[in-house]
Amino acid sequence: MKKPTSKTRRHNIIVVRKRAARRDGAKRRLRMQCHRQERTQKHMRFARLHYAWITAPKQFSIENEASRYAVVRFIEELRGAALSSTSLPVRIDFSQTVSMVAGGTLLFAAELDRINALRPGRITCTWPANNRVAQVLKHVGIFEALNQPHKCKVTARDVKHWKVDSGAEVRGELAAAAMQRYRHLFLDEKQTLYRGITEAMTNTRQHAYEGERGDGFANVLANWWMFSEHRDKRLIVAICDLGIGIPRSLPKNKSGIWPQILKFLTNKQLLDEDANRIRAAIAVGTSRTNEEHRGKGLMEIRSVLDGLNGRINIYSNCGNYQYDAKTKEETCSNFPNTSIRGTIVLWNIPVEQRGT
Amino acid sequence: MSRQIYVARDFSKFPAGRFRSDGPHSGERFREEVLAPALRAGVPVTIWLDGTMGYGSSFLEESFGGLVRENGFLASDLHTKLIVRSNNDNSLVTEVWSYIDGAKTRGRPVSS
Repeated sequence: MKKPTSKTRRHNIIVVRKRAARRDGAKRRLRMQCHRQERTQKHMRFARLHYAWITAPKQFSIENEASRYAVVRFIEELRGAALSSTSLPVRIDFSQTVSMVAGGTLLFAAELDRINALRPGRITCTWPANNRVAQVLKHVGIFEALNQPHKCKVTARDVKHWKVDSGAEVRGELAAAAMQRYRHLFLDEKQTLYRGITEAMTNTRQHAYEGERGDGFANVLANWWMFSEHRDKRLIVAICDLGIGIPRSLPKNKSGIWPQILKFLTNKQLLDEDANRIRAAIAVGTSRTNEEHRGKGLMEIRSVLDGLNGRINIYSNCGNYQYDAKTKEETCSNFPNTSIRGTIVLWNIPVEQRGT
Repeated sequence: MSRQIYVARDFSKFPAGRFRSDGPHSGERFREEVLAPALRAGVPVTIWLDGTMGYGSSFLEESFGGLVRENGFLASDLHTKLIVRSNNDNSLVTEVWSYIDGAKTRGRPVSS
């Protein structure tokens, strides 16, 4: 075997040293990676130990049974954890959430306001994985309610048109402001919607908070929350309250208007279902006051659609009443054990084809 | 000669709610502060409904039905003393009179 020259020896030494350096670099990188992982895990262990974690639903919607169930369970869990005197601060994990829809988002925003009024500063959240969800949470004020520093910009066109207001009194100017944003509406459309919105606010004021809500916590806020959005040639306006719900607001004294209600619902057993109680309250035009001149608000809330077409959904406790003005079709659905503990009136009105 | 009252000018562009406790521009407040005092003055009163954002039934019923129910005016007297007008929406005028004619008095009738 030929003896290596001094030059070859020097070259071999360099190669060996380079290999060793590469090996050391890889080891060092691996060490750093492990260290980072350990740090994250430690942080997560700390967070897991020091917060009660609640995972937000994939879809904030109350339109179908599965998503409604997920939203209601999430809110119940959140309320229970945040308002329990012994539990840890609550952290909402938004990593699974991919969609925010009007009714579910409004209900969540309203519940957060109530929880914050009862026990402020108990809930924080993680940053959502979905950018549009982050924009919605920022735009409707949920990040603010959760003390989450918001660094995202609201750029999505549909999100920009979302608007949430709330208040305790019947404020016509807020109803008017919600409609002024949609300039393509005609005056008579604005007046009709104004009528519906202010009647919904009046109903909240007079009937919604007449008793305990039934979740074990006090009624500290007797508010309404309003949501409006213009998207895909449709105007969506929703009013929400966290009160006793329409089914429970029917008169307690059965001597007054009840014969009419029972006449309307031929099968008395149907009265056990919340959606049918909503339908009866609209048709008979009554409230627990039992006074003839009152209780017409729900019919008026529905009659907003006369001449405008569109659709109205009245979600109250376990029921959902839907009326399609175009087909004049009424649909009642019940979701036992998934009460939203309150009422959401949601108008969905086509506007673009009549717009200027 | 009759007294002209424009709801938008003399009360609010945003009438809403039934009772004072509902909000600042309620039917009860309109009735007690504007409508009833004007009718008690003895001259015919013309109410112009135009110019507001709209009217809910709670506001209209409490304002006009309340004249009979709470203030004791007679519906027959109101038909001679009160003129209700709207250039934009005549159905509001019909609605107002349905509340007046349908209201049942609670208090002592006011003599005309």
